[in-house]
Amino acid sequence: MSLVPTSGYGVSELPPKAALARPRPPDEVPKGTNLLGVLLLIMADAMVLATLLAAWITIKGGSLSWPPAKVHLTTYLPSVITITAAMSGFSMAWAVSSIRRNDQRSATIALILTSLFGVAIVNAQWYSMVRAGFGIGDHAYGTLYLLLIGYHAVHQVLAVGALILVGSRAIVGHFGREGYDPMRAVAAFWYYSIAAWMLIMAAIFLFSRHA
Amino acid sequence: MSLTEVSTEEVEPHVAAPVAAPVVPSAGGGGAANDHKAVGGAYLGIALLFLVVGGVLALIMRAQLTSPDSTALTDQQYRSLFTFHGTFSVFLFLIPAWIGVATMVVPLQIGAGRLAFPRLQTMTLWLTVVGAGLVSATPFIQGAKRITTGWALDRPIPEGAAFRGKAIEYLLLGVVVILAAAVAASANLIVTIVKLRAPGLTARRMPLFSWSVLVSGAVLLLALPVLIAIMGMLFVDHHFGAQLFSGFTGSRGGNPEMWQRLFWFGAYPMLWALVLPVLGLASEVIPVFARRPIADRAKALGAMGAIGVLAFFGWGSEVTNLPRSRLFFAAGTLVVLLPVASVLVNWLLTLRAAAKERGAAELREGLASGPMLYVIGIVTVLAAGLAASAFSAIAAGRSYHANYWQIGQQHLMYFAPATLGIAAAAHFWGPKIWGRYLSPTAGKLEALLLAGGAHLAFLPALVLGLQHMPVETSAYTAGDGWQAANVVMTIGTAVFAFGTLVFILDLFFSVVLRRGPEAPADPWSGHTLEWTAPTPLPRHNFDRLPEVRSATPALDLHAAEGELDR
Repeated sequence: MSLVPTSGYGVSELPPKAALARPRPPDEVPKGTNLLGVLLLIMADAMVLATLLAAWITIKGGSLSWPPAKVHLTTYLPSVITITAAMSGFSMAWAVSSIRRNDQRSATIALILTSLFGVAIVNAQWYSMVRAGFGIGDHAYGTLYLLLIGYHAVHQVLAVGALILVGSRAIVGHFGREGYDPMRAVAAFWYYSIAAWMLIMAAIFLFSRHA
Repeated sequence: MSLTEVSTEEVEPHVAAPVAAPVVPSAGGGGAANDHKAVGGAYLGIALLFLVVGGVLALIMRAQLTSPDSTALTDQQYRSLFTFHGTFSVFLFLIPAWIGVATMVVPLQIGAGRLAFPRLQTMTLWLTVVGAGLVSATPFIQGAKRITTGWALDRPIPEGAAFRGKAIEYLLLGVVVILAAAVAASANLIVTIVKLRAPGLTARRMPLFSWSVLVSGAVLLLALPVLIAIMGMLFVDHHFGAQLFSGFTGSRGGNPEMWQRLFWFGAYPMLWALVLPVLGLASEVIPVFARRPIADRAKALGAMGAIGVLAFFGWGSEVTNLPRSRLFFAAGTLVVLLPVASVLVNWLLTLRAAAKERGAAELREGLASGPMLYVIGIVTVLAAGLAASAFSAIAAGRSYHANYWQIGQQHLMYFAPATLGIAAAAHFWGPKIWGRYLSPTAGKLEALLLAGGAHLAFLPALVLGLQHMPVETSAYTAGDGWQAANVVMTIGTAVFAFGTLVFILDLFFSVVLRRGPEAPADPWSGHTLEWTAPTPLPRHNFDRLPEVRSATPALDLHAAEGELDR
């Protein structure tokens, strides 16, 4: 039954005593598995954003007035969102590093602060959508504006939800120096969400004629 | 883990040694439903169902086109069938089929007891079922008759007043759900391959099928979200009356040219990602039946990786209105064929080396077995597909576009190899995963019917392409001179359909009804880790793993057992 091929590898490579190893226990999750999974989903997600931005740039390039004459948006709300997002990034970094240092008290403060920032961002985005003064079907500008902000709002809601789920585990002390993989995964998603906002903000407000 | 300290007393032939499992397995804390073998099998079941549905639609279309001046179907009916045939075949057959096979095989090949996220894969399975339900409901929803735009939804883009009705929304939602599930499933497979490989199974020693799944998963992960995004945008256009993809109407409108560009930016790499597992599978089967390792392993790994990268550089060749970058994309479609050809040559070199080492007579014996016959079929179909693709790449944008050349080329390159590959995978890994052989006699017949049918059906399409028969032709006159090739094409399609039917019946009787002969743990003297697992497979796959010191750990284990016997 055994079949030794005549070529392909040297005898020295054969195991000396048919050493058999125990397989990894099925319940053991190698370090970084959750993080890698989230990073891959972020990559896929970023392609959705890239497609929306590509559509924005394409349509903008082919249109005579962009935004349309009737659209009047200020940069006030988006600036507030941008600053809040940046602050939430710092507080998230603080939370992760507190958990890594087993500093339970700082972690609790930082996690609560981060989720409050997250809620504030969603709140401001909600206003920038309902007070935009145009609907999703009014013109291509409005469609893409609402899709982009909506895309980010959905991510922010998911991020806050994940943060509450995982963060509450952190607050009761499930994680520590030895293992905080789920927390790193949530943090990665949070940072992505901030980066996505910066791109959206740049596309909509920086390179256009908004006041 | 110190591997060499295991004493010789513990070493027993794995077939005869039912050792107590070292741990109580729960494979991720879920119930039995999260077993990757079962989930993959269910995926395959969905895929085969829609292979049949798509095939029946194809047969109806072929019946219409067999004779000139046929009036069985109206133009609208024909184009509607054409659209659903493509949609079912791509999104509900090709994608779930390969995700299913990969879900079943990859953990076994890399020596893992489970997927990285077992429950996630079950969730994607049910999402696929939901998406399949939405897409299948589409033909019965108001406005379905007007969905006549091809699976690329671009002739014309279905939006605006002409496409009133909810049908298109069902279609878009269904496809988006299926694609989102595929993205999550691909991510799961990638994490599994990266994180759960057995100790010693380095990237260079990775089984070629698992490698192809890794590359294909990465491509799907980047390409499918583009399709998700544009289908979402089209949904918004339709549902909320927006106009992202319709006319340049000043301040209101978007850009209709955007659809094709974004669609093919996602769909073109996706099609290559669905060819990659076929290449991986054949690179697995050929060495086993040639009884030697693949001729140049590094080249095979590199070529498959290159296909994954180059797949992103040919999308423009599918876009009808892209005058400026024509040359760039023609080069892109041509360059990606080189690594495909390199993999093909690698297979042939493996066979030649085997013939030299062991004599042609013995090699021929190995080649006549079920899985290998399929692979020979794959080689011939792929070779034809390569030639057709190269030709249309060189002539990109000329007359070979949007005519039957495209149909022939796409079916030879993407559809036929994938179908043959799935049947080959069932014959090759079936004995391991289900513990039963599929019928060897039926297998030979199936391989012959599927490969022969593919050539008969799709080579005449190339001829029709040279005769400039447009893709959407629903009827033609005798004066067009297209009948001869159309008749051959219909016969080929019928043969292919018959082959599919035999395959599915074979699968049903041998595996589902368990009438097939019981298989031992290592029926083919395989090379990779899955063949060292016991059959029938326990829930956690492996009680013990051989130490991985080469790309062929199963062979090493047999060799070492042989040494011990002596």
